[in-house]
Amino acid sequence: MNNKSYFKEILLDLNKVEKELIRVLKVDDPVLSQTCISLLQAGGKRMRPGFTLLAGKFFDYSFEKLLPIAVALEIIHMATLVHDDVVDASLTRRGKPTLVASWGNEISVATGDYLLAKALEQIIKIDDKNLSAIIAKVCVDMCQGEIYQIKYSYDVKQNFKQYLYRINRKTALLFSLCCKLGAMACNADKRGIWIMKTYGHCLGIAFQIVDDILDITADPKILGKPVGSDVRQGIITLPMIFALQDPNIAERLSKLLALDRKTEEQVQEAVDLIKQSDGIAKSNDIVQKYIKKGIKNLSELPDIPAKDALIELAEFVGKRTY
Amino acid sequence: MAVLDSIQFELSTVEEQIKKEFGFKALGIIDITQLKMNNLDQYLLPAISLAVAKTAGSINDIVISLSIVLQYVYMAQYIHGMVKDTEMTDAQRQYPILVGDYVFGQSFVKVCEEDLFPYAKHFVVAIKKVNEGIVRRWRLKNQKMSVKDYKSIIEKERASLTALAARLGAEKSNIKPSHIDKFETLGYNIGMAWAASLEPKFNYLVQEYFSKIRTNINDLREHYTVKSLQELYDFIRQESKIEINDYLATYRQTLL
Repeated sequence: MNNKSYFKEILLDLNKVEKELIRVLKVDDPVLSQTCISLLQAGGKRMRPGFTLLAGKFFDYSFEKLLPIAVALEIIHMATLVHDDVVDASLTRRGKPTLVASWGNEISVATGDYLLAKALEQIIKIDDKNLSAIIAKVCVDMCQGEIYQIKYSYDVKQNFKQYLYRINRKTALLFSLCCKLGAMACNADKRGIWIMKTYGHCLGIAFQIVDDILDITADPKILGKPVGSDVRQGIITLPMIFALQDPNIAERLSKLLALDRKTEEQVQEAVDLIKQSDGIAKSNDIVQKYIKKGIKNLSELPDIPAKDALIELAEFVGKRTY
Repeated sequence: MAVLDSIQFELSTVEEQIKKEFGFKALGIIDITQLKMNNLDQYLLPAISLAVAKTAGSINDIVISLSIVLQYVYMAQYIHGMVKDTEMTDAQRQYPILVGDYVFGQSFVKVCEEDLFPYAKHFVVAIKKVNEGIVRRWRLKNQKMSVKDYKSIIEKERASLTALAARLGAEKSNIKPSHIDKFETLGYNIGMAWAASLEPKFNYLVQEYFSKIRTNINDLREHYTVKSLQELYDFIRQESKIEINDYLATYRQTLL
C-alpha cells in the first residue's frame, strides 16, 4: 500500500505519529532497544493510526487528543504481531526475519510485554478512564480470539459463524477500535461513532478474509512469507470452509486439513484443492459484501477528502495482493 | 494459609475474586497451561499489600483491588515465563503466550473499572522493569554472573513488584507518608529474598535479605503493631525452605 496516496489527507500528522513512535520506543536496555528498532524498521503500513486520524477528520479534529491513541493502538498492534509470530513460530514477516527468528522465544515474549507496557503508558496519557477501559476490553477480546483459534485448529467442522467470531476478535476489533476512538476523541455524536465503528469492523473483517485468501493464492515473494501457512498450522479459514462444501474434494481436503503434521507435498495438495474449488471466489464475494457495507454508512458523513480516503482504502483492501 | 492469620480473610477474598474474574475454565484451557504455582507464587504479592495495610490498622477495598491487579501482573509474567528458547511443543509454546496476554489484559480492565486508574502508571513501570530484568538475565545467561549482576536482575524481575505491593498497601492506608519508603524497602527486601531462594547458587543472599527484613520490621515496630509483617516473614521463611540461622528463632521471640 502506498501510504502517501491513501493517507495524503493526514500525511503530515501520520509522520508525526511515526516520530512519536520512534521517540516512545527509544529504550535504554540494549537488547530491547535493538528489538524495538527492528520492529519500527520492519515496514508496517501504519494503517491503524491512519484510520484513527481519518476517523477524527469528520468531527472536531484534534491531533493532540488523537496522538496518544494512535501511538497506543499501533504499539498494541506491534506487540500482538510479535507474540503472534512466537505462537505461529513464524520466521518471516513482510519478507524480513521476525523477532523470534532473530532472537528466540524469550526475548520476543519479553519485547511484546514491554511494548504492552509502553502502550499502556500512552493510554494513561489519554487520561480518559472510559476510553482506556474500551481499549483494555478489546485487548482481552483479541486474546480470546487467538485462544479460540488455537483451540479449534485442525477442526474441519468449523462453520462461517465460528470463523466470523474468531476473525472479529483477532482482527476486526482493533480496526473498529481505531475508527471508533478516533471519532470519540474528536467529540463525535453517537451516530458518528457508530458509523466509524461499523466501517472499521467491516474493513477489519474484509482485511482478514483477504489475508486468508492471499495465504492460498499469493506469490510468496510479494506476500513476504510462504503460502499455505494457515494450512500448515491447522487454521481453518473461509476459503477452506467454502472449499469443504464441495463434494468433489471435501473428503480428501478434510483429511489433509485435519492432519497436525503435514509434509510440504500435503500442504501443496491442500492449497491446490482449495484453489480448484470455488472457495476463493466465494470468499471474495464475502469480502466485497463487507466492503460495501462498511462504505454504505459513510454517505451520512460530510463530503470531505477523508471520506474519499476511507472509500479508497476500503476498495484497496478488497483488491490487495500483499 | 494459617501462618498469615491476621490477613486470612482478605487473602481469601483476593483468591476468590481472582478465581471468579478470570476462570481459565471459561477459556477451556486450564489443563493446558499446567500452572504449577507454589504458595509464594499464589499468595505472597497480595499478602505483602494486605499485611502492610493491616499494619496501618485496616484493609480497605482499594487495597484488595490493587492486590488483585498485582497478582494478575505477576501471574501474566509467570505464565509468559513458561515459554523458553528450548524445544517446545506447539501447545507448550502457544497457550502460555496467549493466556499470559489475556491475564495482562484483564489486569488493565480491572485498573480501569475499579477506580484504580491513578495507579496505572505504577503497574506500567513495574511491567517494564520485570521485562528489563528478564532480558538482562537472558543477556548474561552464558556468562559468569557476578553477584552485582544477579542482584540487578532480581531487583527488576521480582523486587520491583514486591516493593510496589508494599508501597501501594502503605499509600492506601493510614500509614504516615514519611514511613511509606520504609514499607517499600521492606517489600523490596522481601522480593530479593524470595528471588534468591529460588536459585541455589545465590541462596546465601537469602540470609542477607532476611536479616534486612528483620531490621525493617524492627524499625517499624517502634511505630506500629507488626504482627502481620511478622506473619509475612514467617510465611516466606516457611515456604522458601531455606535454613535461617538459629539465632533468628530467638530474635523472633524478642520481637513478639
